[in-house]
Amino acid sequence: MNRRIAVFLALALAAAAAVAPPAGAQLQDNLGALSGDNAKKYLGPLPDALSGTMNSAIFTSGKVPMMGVTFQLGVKLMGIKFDDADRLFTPTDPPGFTSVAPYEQAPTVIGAGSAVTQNGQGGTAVYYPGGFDVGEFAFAAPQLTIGSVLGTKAVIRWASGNFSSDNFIEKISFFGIGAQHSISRYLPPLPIDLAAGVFYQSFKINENLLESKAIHVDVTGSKDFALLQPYAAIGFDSFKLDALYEDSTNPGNNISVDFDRKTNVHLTAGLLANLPVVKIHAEANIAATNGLAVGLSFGK
Amino acid sequence: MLPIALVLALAVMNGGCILIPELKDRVVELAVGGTTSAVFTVQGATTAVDETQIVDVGTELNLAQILSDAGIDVSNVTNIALTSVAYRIVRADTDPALEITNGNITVQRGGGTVDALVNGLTAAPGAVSGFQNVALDAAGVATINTMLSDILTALPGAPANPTATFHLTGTSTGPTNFDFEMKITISITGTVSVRVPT
Repeated sequence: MNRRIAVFLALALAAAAAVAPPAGAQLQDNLGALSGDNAKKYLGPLPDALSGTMNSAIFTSGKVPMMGVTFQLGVKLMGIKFDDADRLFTPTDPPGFTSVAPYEQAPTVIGAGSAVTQNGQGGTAVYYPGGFDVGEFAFAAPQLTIGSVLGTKAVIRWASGNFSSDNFIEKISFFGIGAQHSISRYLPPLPIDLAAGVFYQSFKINENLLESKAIHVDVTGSKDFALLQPYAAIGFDSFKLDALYEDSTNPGNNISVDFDRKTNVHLTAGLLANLPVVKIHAEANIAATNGLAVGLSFGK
Repeated sequence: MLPIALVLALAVMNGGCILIPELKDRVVELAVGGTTSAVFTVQGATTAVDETQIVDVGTELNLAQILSDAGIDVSNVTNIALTSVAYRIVRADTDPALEITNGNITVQRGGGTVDALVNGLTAAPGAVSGFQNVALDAAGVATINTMLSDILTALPGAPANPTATFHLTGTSTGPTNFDFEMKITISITGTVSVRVPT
């Protein structure tokens, strides 16, 4: 059961941009040596990073036609930078171990690559694994938008992949579904188009190693200026991450890590180039973690 | 199209290309754990507890398998150490009020010196329990750490004197008939090379 692990942080690229998972890293094994509390702290930077990226670049216009066939197929690419404060955590003594001063901090999954030694009572020691020393996180997602019926269009994101058992990412599955509905139709004439949207996403790695679920709701406003369409949105994100891994210290036992649900306001400002066949957009997001996103779609 | 290109370029380049990760090689130091245990069947008609277990630590820990599972080559191991010793009652005594006091556990590697590992142990073997923490003696910890280091150095073979004799003594409040399990947990670090998008 040698789980050669490719880097977790490449998973989104692998999921959507068809980038092969780099071989090598060892997330499962790094987690396996950690107690549940410490695994939660080790993975601590990921929920905000995933929430900030997965919940971005979904709706890029407030204009939803009442009726008619429209579709767009494209790729969205979202990225964030990690704070330096996210690179370390204060470990909790694992069962049976009593630490003695000096009390060390350990790297998180994005922290420095060197393990940290914490000395314990009677000359014992426990080692905390190094991180992968990364400063940014990017998430890509293919997206299909189909409309419109009664001022409503549907949005779908989907990706999956099976990789060799020698890689960390043996299997990924990503699915998102939602809709955006025009609310301009219910209001007196406004200088902008307004639409409300809701979107649900599920993202799994190796069945249950990491499983995330995200819900995003927002109201998007936009205005046409020839081919350009600036847009802005105010929304709300809800994000849940769970992990399940084998305890390497006690093989056969699984450790479940249940992260608290994260909720936050999500503000977006962007610009859409609404060309006849090609749609290009770029946006900035203030969310769980602030970030940027771009998208390229084809359709009408 | 020029404004669009400028906006896209700004979005992509701002903050160091966060939207276009670059794959870089990294050396990451992993940490993995392992355990081995010994069960003492404590049985006696008197109030004296005196049981011995011999453990082939090298075979029981199976360091080679632990490292293989984690994808760490033995030449890349950077640290190995004893992390903890804990005990639990796996078969309760028929006397629910039985107590063990002044318990001690010593460790002797092969025919070497006998070193204290656990002092002042108290236990309530009248009921099955989860693992309980114990205070460790530096002399016994050092003996085990030396043994672990020697086991690692000898891989894939076995080191000299790979066995350890654990000797449990103490005083009970009555005749005894229970099973006492001692668990040893170790921690290991080793490096692996990875490619990371950053």
